[in-house]
Parts: sequence; structure tokens; C-alpha cells
Amino acid sequence: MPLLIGCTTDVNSPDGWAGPVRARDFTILQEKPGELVAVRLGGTDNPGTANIDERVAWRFPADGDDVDLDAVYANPILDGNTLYVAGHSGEIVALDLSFEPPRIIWVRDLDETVVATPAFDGQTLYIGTEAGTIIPITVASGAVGAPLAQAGERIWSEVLIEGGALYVAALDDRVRSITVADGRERWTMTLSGAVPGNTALAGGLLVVGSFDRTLHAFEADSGVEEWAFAGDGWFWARPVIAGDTIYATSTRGSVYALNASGGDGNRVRWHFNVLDSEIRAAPVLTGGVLVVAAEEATIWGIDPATGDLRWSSPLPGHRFLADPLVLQSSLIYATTRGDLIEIDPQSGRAAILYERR
Amino acid sequence: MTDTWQLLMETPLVNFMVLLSIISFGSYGAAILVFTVITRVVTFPLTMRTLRATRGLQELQPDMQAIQKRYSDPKRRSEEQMKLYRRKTLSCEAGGIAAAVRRHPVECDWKGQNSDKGELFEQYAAHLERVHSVRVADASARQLKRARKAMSGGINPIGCLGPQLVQLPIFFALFSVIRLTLSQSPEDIIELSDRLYDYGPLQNAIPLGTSFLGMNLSANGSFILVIVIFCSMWLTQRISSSRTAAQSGTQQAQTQQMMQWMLPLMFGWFAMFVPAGLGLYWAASTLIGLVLQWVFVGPGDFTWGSLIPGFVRARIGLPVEIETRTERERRLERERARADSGDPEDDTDGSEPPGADGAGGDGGGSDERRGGKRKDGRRRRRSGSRQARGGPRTRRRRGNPRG
Repeated sequence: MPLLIGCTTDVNSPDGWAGPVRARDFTILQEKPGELVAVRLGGTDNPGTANIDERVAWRFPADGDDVDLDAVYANPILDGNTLYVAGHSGEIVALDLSFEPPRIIWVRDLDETVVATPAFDGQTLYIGTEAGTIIPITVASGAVGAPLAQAGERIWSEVLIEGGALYVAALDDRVRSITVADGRERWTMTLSGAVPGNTALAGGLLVVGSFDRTLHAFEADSGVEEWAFAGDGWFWARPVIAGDTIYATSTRGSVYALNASGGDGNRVRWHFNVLDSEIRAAPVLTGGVLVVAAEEATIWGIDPATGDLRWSSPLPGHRFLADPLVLQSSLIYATTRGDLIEIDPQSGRAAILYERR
Repeated sequence: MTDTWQLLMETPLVNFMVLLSIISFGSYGAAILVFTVITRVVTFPLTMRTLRATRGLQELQPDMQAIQKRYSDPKRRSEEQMKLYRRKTLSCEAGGIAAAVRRHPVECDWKGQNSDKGELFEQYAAHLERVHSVRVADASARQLKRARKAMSGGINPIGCLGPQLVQLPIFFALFSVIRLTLSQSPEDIIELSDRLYDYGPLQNAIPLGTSFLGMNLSANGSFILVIVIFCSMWLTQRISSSRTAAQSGTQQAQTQQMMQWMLPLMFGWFAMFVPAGLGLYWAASTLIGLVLQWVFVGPGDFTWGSLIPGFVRARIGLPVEIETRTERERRLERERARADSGDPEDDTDGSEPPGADGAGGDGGGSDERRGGKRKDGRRRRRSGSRQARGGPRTRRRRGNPRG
């Protein structure tokens, strides 16, 4: 009996949590693990009730496409009419979206699983892999270069690029900065916990959340840790750096507003808890509201200055793990079920744009 | 219900496993092994009951076979077998008492055909007090009370399942825990975050290392573990089952033989499709079970020689028919009796078991072949060397002044 149970439990079943992308007049999301769908939005007051088949522009991979993405965790990268998708299987695909359905420009198999969102400097994708390598791919030709460096054991965190340097955090508890030109390591800092989530870089400050339940702030050039803040859970979601304030969320459902400067005694501006639900989707500061999506079915609008709750939007049955798509006046969330939900950050009004059949 | 299950079983186990991993210097494989040992220790009393019952069943086999030979009508045969069970009061509990009785040379006629079950218990208790000056200890009163109840109730059909049923929740939780803690998918690690207690070292330990002895514990189908699981399960089944019954050609024997292969094959097959971490647990647990069975029940009719296939035995000159341990013990008893009675010529009574016909034994009774000591302290006879020197051993002993 226990064996039967063991056999029915799938240990390695990646689903992926890629965020949605807006391209031309449609939004692209991962509908099922490893399957993308492009959905046309707008044109109706209640699009959720419209004919779904008419709203789907295309699905990828289509029948006959020799592509197996397995699942997609990395947020797809849009560059003009080209979409770069990094699958968990290690297959990297460049799609030409000027065609419907899109045409495959190239497919490269890295033979390593990929969770991290790649860095992109306009010419080259820098892909962090589960093997801890950073592999460059020249997008024009699809040429795969030699790995830059062994940048850790497993990389789940988005690779950041700025000023000719890559910033990589990994599950081996280390944060590194690597020179793009020669792959030389600029600095390395060791934390007391793994770094699973995306980091934030702004104003020369690199903010890194960790499994050690601490948010670390490093000087990007030198790697010197400027301060660390101990929270109540893992810091997995990408923090928001807004001037002198850093907004960070924990897997215990806490939202923190922290002073980026000043002493530790004055670090916390305010603290808000969303009822003990994990937060993995990145918080977004838009339209004067800090929008936080808790994993379990609720999106919260918080006053960024005071931490007071502006609104909450319960969405029973939905789980939010993917980073949202920020549009001019709204946010679009892709749920783990493959639905699209639009949120008005001012009122918290939610509209289901697309429901997966 | 699910929340309660998680709160009371899964979540504590998750944290315990992570803690074990920390204690084991970050090796999750070592943590699984430690946990397996702990589980086996905790469930040891239950395991012992099962083992005793197994032993009791093994010892019933000769009588069962006699019934099978005597009665051709299946209904009558079944009735007689039930009577035998009742006479021998073989339930799991009673099996334990019976095993204890056998350890003490019994004055009480516990095997008496007409003994009442309750009377058996009284006899046993009185025997302990009278002969061994051992009171029925207060500490074991509950067990004895249950044993008496089991005796008076005759066969308890689910009695043997009891220990297994008690262990089931542990197994259920464990599989879920190993699945969760070994998972490498980001979604599962997020789920794990909700299960870990608010204790720094536990949270910092995630993700757990999945490499152990060259295996990736989160990857499916470790071939080495599949082989270990198959072999240990086969051996366990082989020892559990009575070879005597297996040779009888009955339906029960066929079923027994089928199970001997089917269960290891099934478990081995499953092990190919689950993470190596689970396989490691199964392998370690089965090996420990095998050792426990060997130590506390004994190998039964199993001999290492029986592992040699028949065609190989034929080729190297060993008898194809294998003498079982029980058969050998009976033969040796007869030979001893003949030697003691000074009747050396009566060495073939027509019922000699295979291997006692001068062909040199089965070559598998390793302890006899090595001349190991018997329980009575005397040196075991070298049946193999007897053949090498030619002639039955009884004849040699007759010429031996020390005989």
C-alpha cells in the first residue's frame, strides 16, 4: 500500500510560473506546463464570458513543433517582435511573433534545466542554469557560447546585468558578481541561506532575499553588505526598490517597507501581514498603490506610505505565483491554473480576462 | 481531515527529517537511514509479534502437510486445518506465548491435543512460576492478558494485520514527507516553507542536499537500490515461507511460491519509478527486517545451498533435490536415535528425505558443513565430509570408540 502511494506521488512535477507578456494585441501566458497561449484581450466589457476559442490567437508548441519546454519558470523576454522563452527542460526558443502562429527562429538545448529568468543586454541572453553555469546565447545567430563561469550550484534567481557586470544569486548560499567580458568573478558573498528568488538592483544597491529569513543589501560594485534585515520567513519574491524605500514580502505573508539607508534601529517603516499566506509573486508599486498577490487567492492593495490596507480582492480558487504584467493602468496576473486576471490598482476591481478550459 | 493529518503527522515528520539532515551533517541520505532505524526501533514490539506469528506458522507446516496428505476433500481438509489452528492456538498473541513456551523445556503439556486454550495459558503461567521461579511479571501482565484473550478467542484473522495497520500511518506520512522534502521543483519548496517550524536552522537548511553515495536521491530509478530491494525482499519472502510447504505441490504452496517472486518483482518495479530517496528507505527497511527475521525467527528451511539453481547443482554433482532444514533436522534426529540405540543397520526406513540417501546432503547446510556447534553444545556432524569418506556416518560412528 505505501508503495502504491509512493508511486502515485510525483516528486518532480514542475508546473512553472512564468509571468505573462504583452506582445502586439495579445497577451502570452503559460496555459499548461510547457505550453504557451496567446490570448487577444479587449473588445468586450466582460471578456471572461466571450468565446474562448475566438480569443486564442495561437498556442505553442503547436503540433509538429519539435520543442519540449517541460515547464516555464523564467519570465519570457520580449524584444521587438521576438520572444525568447527558456524552458525548464533547458530548451531555449526564439519565436518570431510577426507571424501567426509564431515561427521558430531557433531552438537551443542547453542540456541543463532552467528556472532562472535570463539576463538580456539586447544582443546576448545570459542564462543561469540548475547546474550553476551562466551560458550566453547570441540572439542574432542563436550561437551558444562557453559558460561564463561556475556561478554557483543551482541558479533559480534571475540573472541581472548592469554596467558590464552580471549579478547572480544561487541556492549554494552565495551571491556573485561576474564581469561579462571575461567571466571573471568580481566579488562573492556567502549568506547563511540559499537564494531562491529574484534580486533587485537599483541605485548601486543590490537587494537579495534568502532562505535565512533575511533581506540583504549589498553595494553592487564592491559586494560589501550594507545592511541586513531579519524577517519572519523566506524572502522569495523580488523586492521593490523605490527611492529610499524597499518593499519586500516573505513567505509568511508579511509585507515590509524598509528604509534603504539609516541604522538598523530605524529600518522598518511599516509591516503588514496578509494572513499567513505565502507570497512569491513580485509586489508592484503602481499608481500610488503597492499591490501584493498572496499565493492563496487574494490580491491586496496597500498604501505604500503608511502600510494601511486600501483594498483586498479575494479570488477564490486562484493561486498566484507568477510575477504580474504591469500595464499603464492595470496589472495582469497569470494564475497557476492558466487563467488571466486583470486588477485595477486604484479600486482593486478584478476581471477575469481568460479562463483556461 | 487533511489539515489535521498534516498538522499531526506530516508537518512534525517534515521538521524531524530536516532536523535529522542537519544532525547528519547535511546528508539527507544519512537522515533517511537514521530515520529508518528509528522507525524500526519504535515499531520493534509490533514487528516482534509478527515475527513470532510467522515462526509459529512455520512450525505448524509439518502438521499442515500431514493434513493435506491425509484428506483429499478440500472441505474436510479446511476443517482439519482450522482445528489444528485452534489446537495450537496460533494467533499472533498466542504465537508469542507459544514461542516463549518452546524456549523453556515444557513440563506442561501445552501441545496436548485436548488442552483447552485457557488451560494452556494457566499451564504456561504456572510453569514459569514453578520451574523458573518467574512470576508472571506485572510488566507483562497486559500482554499475557491479551494473549489469554487471544487464546480463548481462537484464531484472530486480523490479529497478524494489527502491527501492519499500526505502522500504516507512519508509512503514509513518511512517503508524503520524503516526496515533499526531496522535491526539487520550486513549487514544492514553496509548499515546504509553510510546513517548517519557525526555527532558524530548519529554515536555513532548505534546499536539502540530494546526493548520497553517488545517487541523486530525488531522481527516479536507482538501479542499485532496485537490486537491493529485490534481493532483500526475495530473501525475506523465502525465509518467511516454509520450503516444506512449497514442495508439497498444493495450491497453497504454488501461491506461496508465486508470492515469493511476485512481491519482490513488484516492489523492485515500483522502486524504479519513485525517487531514490524512497528507494533508500525501502531498501534499508527491508534489510533491517531481514536481519530481524533471521535473528529472531531464524532462517526456517532456508539454506544458502538452495540458492544454487537445479541445473547448476546437477552440473557440479550436487543433488537436484534439496534437503530442507526441517528434513535435515529430522534425519539427524533419527540418526542420533539409531546411534544411541545401537541399531546401525536401520538407516533406511523408506522415508529418508532427499539428500540423505548417500548423495552427500544439499551442500547448503552451511553450519553443519562447517561443523558448527549445536544448541546442546556438541559438535555438529560433517555430513559433507561423511560423503567424501564414503558410507553413512552411522557406520563410521560405530567404529569410533568415542561414539
